[in-house]
Amino acid sequence: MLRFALHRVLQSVLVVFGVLVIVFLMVHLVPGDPAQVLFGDAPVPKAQVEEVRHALGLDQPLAVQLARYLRRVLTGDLGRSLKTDRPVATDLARAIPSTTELAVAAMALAAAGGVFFGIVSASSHNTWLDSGVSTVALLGISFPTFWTGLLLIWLFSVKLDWFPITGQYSLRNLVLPAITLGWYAGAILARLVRSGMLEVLRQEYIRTAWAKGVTRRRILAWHALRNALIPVITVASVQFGTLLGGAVVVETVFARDGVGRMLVLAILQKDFPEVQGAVLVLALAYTFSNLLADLCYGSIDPRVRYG
Amino acid sequence: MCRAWVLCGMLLLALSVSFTAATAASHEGGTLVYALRDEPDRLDPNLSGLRPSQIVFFQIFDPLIVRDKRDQSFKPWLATSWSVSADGKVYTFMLRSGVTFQDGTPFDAAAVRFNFDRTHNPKLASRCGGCAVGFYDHAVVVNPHTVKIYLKRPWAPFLDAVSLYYRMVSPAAVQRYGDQDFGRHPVGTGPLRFVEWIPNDHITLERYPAYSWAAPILHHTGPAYLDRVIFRMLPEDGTRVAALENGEAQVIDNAPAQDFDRLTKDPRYKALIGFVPGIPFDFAINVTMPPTNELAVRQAMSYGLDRPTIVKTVFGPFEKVGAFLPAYGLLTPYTYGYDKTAGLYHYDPAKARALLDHAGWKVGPDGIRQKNGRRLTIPLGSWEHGVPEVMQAQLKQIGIDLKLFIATGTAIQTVNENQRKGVTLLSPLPAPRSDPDIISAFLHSRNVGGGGFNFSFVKDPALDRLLDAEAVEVDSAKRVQILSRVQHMVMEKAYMLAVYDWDNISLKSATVNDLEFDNIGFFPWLHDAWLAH
Repeated sequence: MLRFALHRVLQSVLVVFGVLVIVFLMVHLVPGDPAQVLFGDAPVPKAQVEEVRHALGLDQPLAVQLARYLRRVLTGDLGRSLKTDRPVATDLARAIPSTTELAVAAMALAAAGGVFFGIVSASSHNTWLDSGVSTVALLGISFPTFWTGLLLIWLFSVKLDWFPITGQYSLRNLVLPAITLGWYAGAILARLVRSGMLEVLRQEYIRTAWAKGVTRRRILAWHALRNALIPVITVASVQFGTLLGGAVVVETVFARDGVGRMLVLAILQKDFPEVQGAVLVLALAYTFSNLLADLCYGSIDPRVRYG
Repeated sequence: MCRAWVLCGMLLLALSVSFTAATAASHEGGTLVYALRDEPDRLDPNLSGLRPSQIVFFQIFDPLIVRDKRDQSFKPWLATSWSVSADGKVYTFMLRSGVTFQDGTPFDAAAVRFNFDRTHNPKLASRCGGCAVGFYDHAVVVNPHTVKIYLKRPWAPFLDAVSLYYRMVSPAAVQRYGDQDFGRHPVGTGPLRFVEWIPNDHITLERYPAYSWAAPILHHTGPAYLDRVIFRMLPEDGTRVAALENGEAQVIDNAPAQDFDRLTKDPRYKALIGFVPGIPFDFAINVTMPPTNELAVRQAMSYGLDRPTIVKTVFGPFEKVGAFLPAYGLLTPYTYGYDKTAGLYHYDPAKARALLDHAGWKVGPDGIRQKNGRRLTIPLGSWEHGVPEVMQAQLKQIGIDLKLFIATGTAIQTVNENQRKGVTLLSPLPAPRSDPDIISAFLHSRNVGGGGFNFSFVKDPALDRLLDAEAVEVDSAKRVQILSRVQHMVMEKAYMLAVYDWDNISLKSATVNDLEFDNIGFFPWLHDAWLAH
């Protein structure tokens, strides 16, 4: 198990490093001049743009910029934003808790909702309730996140005035973004729990339990759910990475601070240090959640460990 | 009898005084939430020229003078009077006394010199795009209320730059926070002072109670009416509109056309329009490559556009409030020096066809014109759909085949820079600026290639001479004459294809009163704004 874990950790380090280099090259190769972007939309004298480019070190060859960047990252210095001159670390320190709050809330909603509705659906198999849950789950998987967000805003903020649209001042502010972000993951989990439960409920030991006169509730919760949950745990930890990706959209729609919003803004502004900082965090979170899933799976299913 | 008159007079006076006081009292108070699409970079006028930053920091910092949008003339603000030397190189400003920065330090000639020196300190690499980079030499403090600014060579847009971009920051505060961090702790002399900035969320400003030096062109003297102004950064269009509808914001910028139409029909919301001076939404035409190197082709394109139909189709809701009007010339009507008579090409398809016929472009079997086996195909770049498609349909009527290239601004910019390597492109070049010298950036031969914006690739010595002359002419009447000749020359040679004015479309709640944009149409004067309770 230790060798397996170590192997996976080393792989993850390599992945993060590779992502950093690829993203660095990508943001530099797409057209557009960051120095010009910093001036807004009116043209300015060439000499002044040159001055800014030089001050920001953007006139250096790409390889030099990359080497400088990697050297700094290794010493723990993420640099300063080209646009605001704030240290990237300061921006991340502000953004990470906000994104974590959103992702955890969305995951909690997704897990609770997914498992609950999965059981409801499986236990009332082929009834109108089952079809209803399946439909809601299908909508969650099919709707694009930004559209779900705008739809919820229109219904619950503009029409019903139950929840505020923007801001991060209380739990009420978190409700709509968390639902928007969690719906997709919740829908996947609900379908997974449903099919898992149906599979397990056909097993012979369940029939034995029925024959022994065990109550329906005990069969569902004790015998069926526990077995159906094993693949769910794996999928949930992989979904956590997808949630982080979704946060990019949700944070923009609900104007929440966070790593996703920081990334979008930085890409539009070609603010390389900020892009790198945000990508680093997202890559770390993604590989870490995948690593966790792998390790979980390894500890649950011995075949994975020795494979 | 006499006593009765005096009594009447006193009564009237008392009434008017109490009325004024009552107005001030009834206007006072409240928090205005102003939603912006874009995030500011630094609240530092010496170093930043980004529009969302300027929207916020123009409330914190005052300029020396201000341009009156009614007649485009300059009026006093922190300077009471000013003069320029005959050679156009020395500007003398007489400063208002009794002005203090929000940190309590006095505003004086030394502070003005500090601001100019800091803006032009090469170590700080200022991003103030409209400042006198390359022209500013030094400043001299004559006495605490008189300062002289020396330029290296005459530069006619200088007063315009002073009225907009040179905003006075507190030297003591810069000292205290340092050059790089001052933009997160801004201190000026303006009607609102800085409270806090939570990045990606909001910036809060509050009333500066000691403020008593509002420009005379504003509606009231004394401090601002609003207790607080909160700028919220809401990047998504739908979210900004929803925030206005449920009352989380009272003003939103960059209002989308479809919501604008719906909300302006609702009495709870009002349009808030900034009419933008400068170059309208137009396209540079590459004059060095076929087929647009032919004057007849360029003129035919311009005659072939039915601009009223274009704006009605694409910007109908905006057109109803007098914005996004058809553009025929090189400048918008709100620009200093605008000459209406230079708008030569009103819709005339017959004339367009005749021009092309005469130039040897004959209609081919598919309706597109041909000459020597070459089809009359012209690529057109833009960063948004709508107008290009309508233009394409209209020009097809006269036998021109527009090929559309819709991409991001940066992608189009890259194609532009490579144009001379074989691609031609009608390239969109709108530019909001209050000084018409912006024409030089687009049409002076020195700006061809090398990062310049002359994407018509025009090298016209006669035009260069005129542009050089207007750029140094400090006599306003003479400058207007030269600018008129510039506009006529450019339009006669059809170096650019003007289509429509590009205005600033915002929305506000009906509870917001007396909120106006300044001369350039983007920056609100929140000093006068008040909320109905």
